[in-house]
Amino acid sequence: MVAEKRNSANELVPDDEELVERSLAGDAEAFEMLVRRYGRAVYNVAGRFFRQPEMREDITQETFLKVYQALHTYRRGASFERWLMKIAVNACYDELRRMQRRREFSLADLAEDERTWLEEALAKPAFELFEQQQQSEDAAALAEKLLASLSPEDRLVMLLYERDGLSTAEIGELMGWSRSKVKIRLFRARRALDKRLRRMLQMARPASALKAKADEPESQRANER
Amino acid sequence: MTCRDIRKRMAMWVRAADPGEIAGAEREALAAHLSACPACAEELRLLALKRILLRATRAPEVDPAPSLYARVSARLRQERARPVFSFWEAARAFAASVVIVAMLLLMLLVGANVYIHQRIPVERRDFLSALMERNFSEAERLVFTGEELSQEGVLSALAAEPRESR
Repeated sequence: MVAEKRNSANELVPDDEELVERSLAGDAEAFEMLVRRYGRAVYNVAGRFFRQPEMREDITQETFLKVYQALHTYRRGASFERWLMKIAVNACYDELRRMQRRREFSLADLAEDERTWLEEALAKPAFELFEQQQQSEDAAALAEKLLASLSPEDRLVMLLYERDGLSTAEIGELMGWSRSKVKIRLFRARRALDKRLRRMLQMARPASALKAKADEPESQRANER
Repeated sequence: MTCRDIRKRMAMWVRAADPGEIAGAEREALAAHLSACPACAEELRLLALKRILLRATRAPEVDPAPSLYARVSARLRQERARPVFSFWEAARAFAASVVIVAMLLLMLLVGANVYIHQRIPVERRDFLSALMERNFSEAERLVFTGEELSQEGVLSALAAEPRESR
């Protein structure tokens, strides 16, 4: 079998398996080719869990180092990309565990802009909020703080299942967890996140109501009296 | 659309890629229900917030900085330059270090022993061994002929070995 495929410029390029073989035989160039081929994909897997570019770069580096060290365990015939992605997701999970903070979420942790974003979201009709597509930096920063109060496992399954739409079987395969473990995790993660969201809404509501009151013109308040 | 219908679908909606997927009659029925049912509206708000916040955590897919590849290569070169230790090599290295430490310890003990013995003046040592062997005439001779063995020396030798001299 010819272990080569063509790239976009129609040039013959060695396939993953051949590059792995050559890397194992000590060909540094071959491994660099794998890094160039999958660098972007690994960097964007890291982007699923971490938004800071430095963090994503560190994880990409860590992932390729692990891949290099574990290259002899790669099973011929299996998809190299899947194997690599598994290592990348696990590197992200390790990082989530390392930076485990699990502080209680509090509105006091929010920056002014994040609070404003939340108050505006609460002021909108629910259906409008549901249809909102627009992304914002403030929402991302707020989400970061909210998710930091979850355990690394809960955070991982929430993101992979609820946000990225992976199935429990796929998550199980990536993490080496049984499907029942993923399901239990998912159940707990949902409960934990919902609890925090409900608390956040409760805490934010009186604040936004008071603010609305304060923003009312003086004359209107005088009328109420 | 009843509350039950809506709650059942909500879990699905949070994962839907695009809320636009809820379209047509379903969308209208949902809007009508929500305007009349504050409890479902509150549930949907929670779900909408969850959806927005979860989505916001994902960084947009981009190309990494080209310098990243250079950094990865540099790190890999470092890794290649590092001597590779197999389990048995590591075990052998560990055993060798244990042997070296044991030898150093032994040398230290022998050295200390020699040093301590050298510090005891010869005559005092002979006097002591004469006492221990219960050779009192020899001990007596040493006391009277020894130049180094002062009264103080005899007393300290006796004090140092009270059990053996008894």
